[in-house]
Amino acid sequence: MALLRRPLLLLLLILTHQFLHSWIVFGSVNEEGQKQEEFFEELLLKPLPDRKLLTHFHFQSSAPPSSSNGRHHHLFPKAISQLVQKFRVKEMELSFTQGRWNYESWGGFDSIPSSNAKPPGVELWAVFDVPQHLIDAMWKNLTHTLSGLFCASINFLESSTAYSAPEWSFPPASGNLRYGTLPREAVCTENLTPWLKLLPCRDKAGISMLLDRPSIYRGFYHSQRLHLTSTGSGSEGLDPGIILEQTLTVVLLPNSQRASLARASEKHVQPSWSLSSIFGKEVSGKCVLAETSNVYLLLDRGLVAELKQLHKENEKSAEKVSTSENNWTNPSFELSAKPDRIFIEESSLLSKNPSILYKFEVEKYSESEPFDLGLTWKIPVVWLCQQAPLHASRFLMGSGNERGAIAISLKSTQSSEGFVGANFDDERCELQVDVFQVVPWYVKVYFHSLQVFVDQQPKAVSDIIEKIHVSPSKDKVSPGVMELVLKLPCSVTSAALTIEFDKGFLHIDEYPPDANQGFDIPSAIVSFPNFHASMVFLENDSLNQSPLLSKFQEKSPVMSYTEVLLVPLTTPDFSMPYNVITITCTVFALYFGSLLNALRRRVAEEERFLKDKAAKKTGRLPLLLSKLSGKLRGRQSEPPHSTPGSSSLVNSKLVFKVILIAGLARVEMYADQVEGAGKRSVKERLNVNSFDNSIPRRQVTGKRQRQDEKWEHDLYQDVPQVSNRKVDARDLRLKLQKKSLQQVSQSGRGALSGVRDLRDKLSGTMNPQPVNADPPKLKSNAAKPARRSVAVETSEPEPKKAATMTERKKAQQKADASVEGFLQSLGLEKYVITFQVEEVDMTALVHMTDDDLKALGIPMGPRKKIILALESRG
Amino acid sequence: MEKLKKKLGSFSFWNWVIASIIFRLILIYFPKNLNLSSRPEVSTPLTSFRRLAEGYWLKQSSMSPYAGSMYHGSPLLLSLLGPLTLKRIEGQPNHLLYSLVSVIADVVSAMLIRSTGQSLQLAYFRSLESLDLVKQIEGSEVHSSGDVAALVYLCNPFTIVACVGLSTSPIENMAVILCLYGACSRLIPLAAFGWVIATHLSLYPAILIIPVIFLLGCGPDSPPRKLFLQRQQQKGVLNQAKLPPGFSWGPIIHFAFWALVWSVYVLVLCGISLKQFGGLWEMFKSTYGFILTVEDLSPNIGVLWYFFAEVFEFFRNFFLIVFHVNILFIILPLAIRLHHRPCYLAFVYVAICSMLKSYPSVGDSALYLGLLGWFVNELSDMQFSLFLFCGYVGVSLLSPVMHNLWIWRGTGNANFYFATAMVYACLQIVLVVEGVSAMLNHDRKLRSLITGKPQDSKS
Repeated sequence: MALLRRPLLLLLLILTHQFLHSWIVFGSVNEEGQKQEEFFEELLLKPLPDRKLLTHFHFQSSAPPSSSNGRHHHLFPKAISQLVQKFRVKEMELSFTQGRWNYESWGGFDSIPSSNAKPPGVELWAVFDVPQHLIDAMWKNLTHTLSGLFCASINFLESSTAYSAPEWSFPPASGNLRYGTLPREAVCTENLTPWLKLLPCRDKAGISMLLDRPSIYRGFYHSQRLHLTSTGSGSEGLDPGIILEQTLTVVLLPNSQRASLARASEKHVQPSWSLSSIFGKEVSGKCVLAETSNVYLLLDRGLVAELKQLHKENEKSAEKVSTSENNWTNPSFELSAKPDRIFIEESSLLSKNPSILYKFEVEKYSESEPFDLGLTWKIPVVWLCQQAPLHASRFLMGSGNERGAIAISLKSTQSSEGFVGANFDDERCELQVDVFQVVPWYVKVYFHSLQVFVDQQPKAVSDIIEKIHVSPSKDKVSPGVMELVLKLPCSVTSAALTIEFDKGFLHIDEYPPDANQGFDIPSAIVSFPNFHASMVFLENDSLNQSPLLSKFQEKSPVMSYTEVLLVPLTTPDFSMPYNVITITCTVFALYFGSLLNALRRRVAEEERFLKDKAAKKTGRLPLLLSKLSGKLRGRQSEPPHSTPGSSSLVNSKLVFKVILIAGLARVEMYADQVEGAGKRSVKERLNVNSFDNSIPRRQVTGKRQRQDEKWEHDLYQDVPQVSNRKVDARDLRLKLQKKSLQQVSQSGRGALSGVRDLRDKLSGTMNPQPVNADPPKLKSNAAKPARRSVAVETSEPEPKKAATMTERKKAQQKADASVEGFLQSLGLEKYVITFQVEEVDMTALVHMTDDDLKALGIPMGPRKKIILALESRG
Repeated sequence: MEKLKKKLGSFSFWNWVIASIIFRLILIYFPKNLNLSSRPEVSTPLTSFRRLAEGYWLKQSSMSPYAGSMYHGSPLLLSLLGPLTLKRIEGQPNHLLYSLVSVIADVVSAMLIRSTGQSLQLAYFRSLESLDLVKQIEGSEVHSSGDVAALVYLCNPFTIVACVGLSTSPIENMAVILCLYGACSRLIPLAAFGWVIATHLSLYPAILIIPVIFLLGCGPDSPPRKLFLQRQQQKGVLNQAKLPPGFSWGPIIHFAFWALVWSVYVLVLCGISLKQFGGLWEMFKSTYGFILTVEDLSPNIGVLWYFFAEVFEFFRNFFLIVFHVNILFIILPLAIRLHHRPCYLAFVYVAICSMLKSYPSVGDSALYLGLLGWFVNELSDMQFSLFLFCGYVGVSLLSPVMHNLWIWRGTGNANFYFATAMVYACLQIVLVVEGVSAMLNHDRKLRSLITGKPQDSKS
């Protein structure tokens, strides 16, 4: 049988394998007409002027529109496609950034800074494909989903105070856009890991292998971005096609130990680097799922121009490009790998200094021969990156915590090339600048105080600002949004906008835990819609294969983010709420009470009262008493008639009243006692019935019972009157002793009790001892017995000791029969407390059934044990 | 305070008026108005000049002035005063026109206070005469209470600061005074107009309807009828003609009619000016709603801001109710005890409101201190007047210092400033309570004079 089955199984396996294989092939090839899910991975390296290196990872996965509903994705992350479908996201961008892009030295005009330089913290914007009234709900759900997906507090963007709806100044302008930032969000590996999980190869293969966490987070700036665009959702039943673009931009300082050693004298020499030196890793082949896997090295326009200049100066054989084995050398630098292709930027305007792009295909490398691009500079070069036409910065003005002003200053970068980009005739050359500023509600901006300075001269707002859109902040509801279009003359060297604000005062709950650190005003966005950052590398066949290059080709407006501002706000005293509440309420009570008192006062009567009082100068006591009696009656009484007898009358009345009250109290107490006694009797009866007249370990929990005893004690104390000082001093102890005494007396030696009590009373401290000897055995309450035992020992007289010893023995026996002992004998000490809590003594335990024990919460095993033991005893 | 008043009274009235106006103008010509317009004591969210300008700007840029939570005033104020926030005269201070309006409002208020005070004093003497008490009074020094009140109002540093600090409280005060003036001089449409405008501007003067009804019903100073009856029983003659007129409903119905007319008028005007925006509902929400819910927690001289900044969120509504009810609950007892002195009742109401309102400013204090001047003669026996005077001076010196320590230097904390606000509230409480009991004592004295117990009059 078994022998027969095995070949069958094998056959089946082979068959299914065949089938699966063919299916997989079918899946990957798909039908010719339909597009494929694709994945591209690319890395761009670019030396920056200030000895740093820009590394820009670009991963793009795309899913074509498909008809099936719950389709299977080969490459595309399912989480993202579900998110797009559920929230009808048309376009979305999420970025996590640490550090600030240095526009001055890293450039502000290329497409890398204008689309990848992001404000610190988290920035999220999304365009939805839903009707207006649903957008906010969609946004809220989206923030929650993303916050779960990326382990970040993006859900804080949910509240309406945190996001805004820019109308036209934010580049992908449309009515369905929502924009929010969290400037203070800390970015760490926790955010990178989920981001990497969206890649088909994660960081296990291909270019993403380079993503070594420590070296990334050591960088000066890193920004991890996720941009998705969905297309073609128009037709019914068709899931939208999605393009997911994931970029990671890191600015690193190459570790240039060797270079500095070699040329210590040269200050300006750029550091040499290689992939392994900056990331500590190498690329061993491409990610198999990727269509293309390329590494680019970009030398920007400024650098190329500078190199050309140097070549001319040197007058050497400039174009001596040698390619020895693996190295590729140029007069100015040397690459450790031979570029597969060299692109030169095709641009009609800037033809003199096109930037150069070297392409390396990772495909050709393998594990045995990993790809490790290195660049070694031969000569020192100094160049500048291309700047945006105006450099924007923002700062706060004013001091103190009451008010201030935000200033946005724009300084011309004097980059001649920048202005060439905009084709204006010289007559009316104008520079258009869009400013988009969001302020949180507690920064209460006075929009009427907007002032514009051009070249340090104040200008009329209407001359400079062509268009303005403002949505003022509502307290605790929405942030303030300001969108401006400025038209500045081209010759401008500096321009500034100032706007005043008052600082709000928050409720103590609204302050973050570190309230004194201050609050962040998110970055303003300054964009230049007439300037477009684009680099066109004319290589028709390869372009559609490289999303990075096609990205470069896109015309995106030049954009820059300003600094995040930290606004300190006044703090109230956080420790004060109770004081403030009580003091304020006291003041209100003072107002109300004293005013009412003034209104209802009858001066005439008071005067008469005072006069009478002055007239008869009786002693202080009668006066006091009369006042007291007046108070007792609850109204201002007429003064007592002047005879001394009246005072005694009042006195007698008072005495009568006191007695009456005492009597009432007494009756009430008696009633209580009777009731308490009735209650107790059941238990005592049980005690009597039990095999042992053990002292019930009654924990005094009921307040009433304690009261009874106190009362009894007081009453007894009153009667004998012989209690000396010693007893008084040990009043509490005596009370405790009496308590145990009563217990004993009530628990069976009833006949004697009366006599004993009396004796006890008469002999003061001496007699309680015999009974008192056993309390030390009671372990039920830990603290009191100790103290009590001390008291016993000090007052224990010598001749009684023998008697106490016997008593103790007895008590030992009793303890054996107690619940505690019983449980100990079963090895179930840990349940003692459970029984104590429920006040179960041995008597009760005997009558307990399985269900009762279950109700106590005793597990099955111990329960059975207890029941068995009880049965065996019984 | 009394001494000050006496001193003031001895000078020529008009000299003082002119001096105070000139003083204001001098202050206005100081650069930036000495930054008074941004002091928390002067400009509350309701009266702030900058918020008015912001509201006007929003309206000019075709947005609702209540968009955002900046402006919380009346739309009428926006149309009247708004243009003045922008108008500039070359070579003159920025907000000269607006400041001039405030100065004029102050002077008009002072004149109205003066004439009201005079008619009040006249009525007082008439009622004394009708009780045959004139000769008892003649012995003591009698001030012209109208002059005193007007001068106290004009020369009060609080008034000056509120006027120079460009707050809207001079206008609000003028509306309140207009209402009282109209009621005292029986110009019912004017009284109704004043009342409607004052209520429209700051809500709290709504409770002035009670003193106004008494004023219109019984006249400015009517001793209780019981006194007359007692008096005449003593004499043994019952002269019906000499009895003061009872409560007459005619003028009150008249007043109600005019109040209705004016409020409809005001609402229609507001509706027109807010037509393209949120409409009247938005206006009520961001004016009265803002007053009642104490949304703005920026510091002022009241006690509620800090309370609501600290109190737990789930108690907030409860305490809002409690604090507002504090004003309402005391209305009835006061009206019962002081119904024969409606002007004094009005003063007490104004004082209580300015103490307990959600965003008090010194402008409100200036109003009731001015009105207090009407009763110099009656309140000459008031206790603690020196203590109160010193307290007011002390608080007005300490409060800016504490504010500076907390907000600007960061060396103090909020409790310091709140403590001065507390002291200020207590001072006002003492003033009101002592004022009320002094007035009641005065009445008692009169009664004892009538019922013929001369020995009591001294005590």
